[in-house]
Amino acid sequence: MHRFTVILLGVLTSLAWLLPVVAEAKLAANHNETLLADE
Amino acid sequence: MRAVAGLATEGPGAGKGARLRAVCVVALVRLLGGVADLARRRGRYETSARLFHAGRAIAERWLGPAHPEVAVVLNNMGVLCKYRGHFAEGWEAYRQALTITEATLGPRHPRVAVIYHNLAGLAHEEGRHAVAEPYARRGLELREQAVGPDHPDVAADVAALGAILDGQGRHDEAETLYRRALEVFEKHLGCEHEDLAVTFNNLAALCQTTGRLTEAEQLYERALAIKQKVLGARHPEVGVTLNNLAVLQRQRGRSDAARLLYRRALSIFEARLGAHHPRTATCRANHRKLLGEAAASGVDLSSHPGGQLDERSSR
Repeated sequence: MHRFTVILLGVLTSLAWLLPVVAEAKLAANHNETLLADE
Repeated sequence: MRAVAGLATEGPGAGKGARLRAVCVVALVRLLGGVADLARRRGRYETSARLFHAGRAIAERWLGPAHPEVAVVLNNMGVLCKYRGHFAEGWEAYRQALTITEATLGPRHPRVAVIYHNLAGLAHEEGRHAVAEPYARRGLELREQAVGPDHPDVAADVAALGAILDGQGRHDEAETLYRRALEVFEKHLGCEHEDLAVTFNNLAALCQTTGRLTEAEQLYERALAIKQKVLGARHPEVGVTLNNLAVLQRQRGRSDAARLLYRRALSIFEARLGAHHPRTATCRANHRKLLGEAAASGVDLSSHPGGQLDERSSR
């Protein structure tokens, strides 16, 4: 039982980084980057 | 991926668990979108596209086609379309995203500002700078109202508008905007951020166009160092700066250095964007011009080390 709790806590902790991703919709914004043509 | 795609083909069930289901669907769609966006930022466009399509299908099926989450996915797909050179698809994605967002969240919502910024970016990539300008100004206006003038997101809008003015030959206005954006980026984002690198690249190109070649080279080197560290050595944005630096070296008469830079840029563009992408085509044309000039002046660049690779990559 103790081992199961440790594993469960480990899994939950390792997934904590997901929280900010799912908590808020993230709209991507592009960059306007200059690519030169040699004219 | 198949399991996720399968979810999207099943219909929503009626019942008291509908709210919980919606929360779970939103979380799943955002998770997929987060990974897709990460793949895009790393230049993995095919992977990104597959994840976005799965997320869109799930969102439309389970939340409805006019849900704000669908608009988020559509906006992010539009950004990907720009980088892949799929311009018509990008316009359609942004048009739908804008319609849904304005209808559900209102025409002055900060998300609307992002979509206008991106519409301007798409027009800029197509070389339609006069079309891009009103979108860029509208996005900037909305964003400034939402977060105030001294915010990195506003600086990103300012830098993007600068590129659009630069494309119209309005170099003085563009330089003022680039320098204003750089100040905010350095203050808020530190010295090693993608936004900073892109603006260094653009300011360098402006300096090059206006004849300040030494300053341009220094700025390109700074842009390149940041991009390689933050994005990796084979990212398409690294290819952009390598191409521009090659043009600069060619202008300075350093044909060997230019050839090597074009070779690196073309290798990245062909591998990551494909042979028919507009950026690949521009870089290939630049490279051919260099080889043509060298041949005309009696210098055989293809006999130098790596010459055969040059020939292959310029086809």
